Amino acid sequence: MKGAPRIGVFVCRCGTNIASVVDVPSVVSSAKSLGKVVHVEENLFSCSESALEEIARTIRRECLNRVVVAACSPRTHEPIFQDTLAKAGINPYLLEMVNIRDQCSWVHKADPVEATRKASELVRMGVAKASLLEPLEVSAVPVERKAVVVGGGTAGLRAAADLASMGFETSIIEKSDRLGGTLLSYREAGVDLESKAVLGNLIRSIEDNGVVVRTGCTVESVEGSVGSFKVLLSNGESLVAGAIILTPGGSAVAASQEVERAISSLDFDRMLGGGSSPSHVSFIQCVGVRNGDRGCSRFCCLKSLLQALEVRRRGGEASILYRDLMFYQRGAEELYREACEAGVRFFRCDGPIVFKGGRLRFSSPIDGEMSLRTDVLVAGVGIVPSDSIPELSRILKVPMSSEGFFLEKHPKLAPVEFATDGIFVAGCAQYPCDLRETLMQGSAAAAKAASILSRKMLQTSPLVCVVDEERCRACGECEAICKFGAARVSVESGRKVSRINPALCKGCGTCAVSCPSNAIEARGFTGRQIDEAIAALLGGTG
Amino acid sequence: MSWSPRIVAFCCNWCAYAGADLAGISRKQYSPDTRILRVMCSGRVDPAMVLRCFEQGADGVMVLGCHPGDCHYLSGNEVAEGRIESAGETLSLLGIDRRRLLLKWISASEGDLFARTASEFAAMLRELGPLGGDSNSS
Ligand code: FES
Repeated sequence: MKGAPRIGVFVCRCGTNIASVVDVPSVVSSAKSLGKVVHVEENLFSCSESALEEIARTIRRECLNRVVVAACSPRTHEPIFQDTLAKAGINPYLLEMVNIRDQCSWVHKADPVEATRKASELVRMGVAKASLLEPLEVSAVPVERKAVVVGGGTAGLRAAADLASMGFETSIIEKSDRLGGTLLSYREAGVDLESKAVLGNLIRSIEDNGVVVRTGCTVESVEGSVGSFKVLLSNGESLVAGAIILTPGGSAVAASQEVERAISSLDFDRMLGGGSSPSHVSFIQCVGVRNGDRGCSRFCCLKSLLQALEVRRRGGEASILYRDLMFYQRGAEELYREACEAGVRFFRCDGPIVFKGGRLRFSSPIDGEMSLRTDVLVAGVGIVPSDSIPELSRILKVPMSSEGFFLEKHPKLAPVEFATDGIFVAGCAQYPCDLRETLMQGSAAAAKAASILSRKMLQTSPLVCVVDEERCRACGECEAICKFGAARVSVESGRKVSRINPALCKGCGTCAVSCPSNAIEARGFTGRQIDEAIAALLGGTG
Repeated sequence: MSWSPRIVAFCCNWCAYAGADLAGISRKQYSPDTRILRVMCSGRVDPAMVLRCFEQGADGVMVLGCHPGDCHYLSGNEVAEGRIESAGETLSLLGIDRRRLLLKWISASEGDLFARTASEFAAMLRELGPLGGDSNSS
């Protein structure tokens, strides 16, 4: 902003909300004595239509180039007054709001003298900060209305099908040579008929909606940010996308490594699908999971229950050895009761088991030493993170949990989002989910991605952090502390320097404090602005 | 006239500042000595700013942010915790009572907690007295 600051202060009475406690005329007169302030007035309601018009006229008439509004909360009213500044022809970021309602009149009713003094001091702080405000420009980036889905399992197929049906050009990148992921292993199941139908359905819907599929292909690198990512593939192809959904899934624990002579539930599915009717089947649960670093996979209990029921239906004996039974899915508890009635036997077993010569020996804290006739021992295997996760985490700078699954931005507030805008997660890559959950997450991630892709332009806030390249010594502190991957040290014309990508930066200012060279400025809350406000408060007469 | 403490409260925009707004909306009355300075995140608060407050005569400083896990920027509050801890150590070295620097988590729905915190902090400072007295008394 050219020329010396000409600050205008508008003090709101808010009807009687402020004026009944705070002595507004006295706040006005103390503001008049502040340096750089050229105009002060009070309004009955500063945010009323007529007052806003009057404020805009005053800005023009008095050639104001900074505005302080002493009224209510910037959290609710800042956009309204910013709009007025814009209408008056000055940059909307030349506004500072002071909250003398929520912080003075409403909370210090019994002490009008102190409330008034506090209001005047807050105005003094606001004016001090305002004198250092700079005009800032909102920039808008065009959105590539395309999506890339990494992983062609249940979650990926569902997300891609949903996005494509909304009209967004969508590509699936699948590492293996076939779509279907974990669901594929259950395809010939026979017990879990649902899987087969679901997979068929999903594949049909991606075909119908023209999803581009690249199999035998992985992601090599990703550049850019929300609205326009460039995804480079292992086959040399480069895709552009406004949003990316990560669905690399999980993989089943290898049963043979965990329990001798056991087959996994997946292999048993194939046996059942092939029409075999074993006469004595035992299931052992929590294989390869719940062992310290790995949590419960949650759906393997139900899987074994379904298989045990099928064994009973075919006339065989079925026993389930469990540590704890986890039947949390809809209808699962009812199925458990059905299995009990159908004669499926349950044994609590937490110790070692021996499977030899057609007998399974173990000791149960409830039933004592046991020996069960067993033809087939099935390991109810859990899900572990896919081995693609660490690589994708590195390439896209998105975090993993201690178990090695992807870690979402927030379990409740942003369950399918990453902290980095425009990147989403769904399915077993996040935690072991059953089919229904996986499908819901796929749809949820697609809906979230669509909220970006459906826009033509994305506005980026100018309240971000910026590096003064002259001062920067490329120490990398900012890169280390930034959770959003916005700060990166790179070589620029032969010199190492840190750059902050404004599309990734959220403007929190945490990096500004970490910079030992004082080279980072948090716009809207610069060190000088804050220091000036502190000095105005404490250095003043008070 | 009785002495009242001068208090600067750095409040993060998303939780503590919103908590102060809620204290207002729900008319929670509290001691009027606190002056709020809004920052986007408690991670923006530089220990140097805190020290400058004391240097210029603040009797107490509060740094108020979101509860752990709730920071709008994921972990700015965790970073702030370490920084404020070290600022506290510096205060001790300077002979300033560490209780004059308070770090606390207040959510947007805890208007009541904001009001109570402001009043209790002010009351404690009233007992400690003006800043200058610390080095003799400790
Ligand atoms: S936003 Fe509240 S502490 Fe970070």
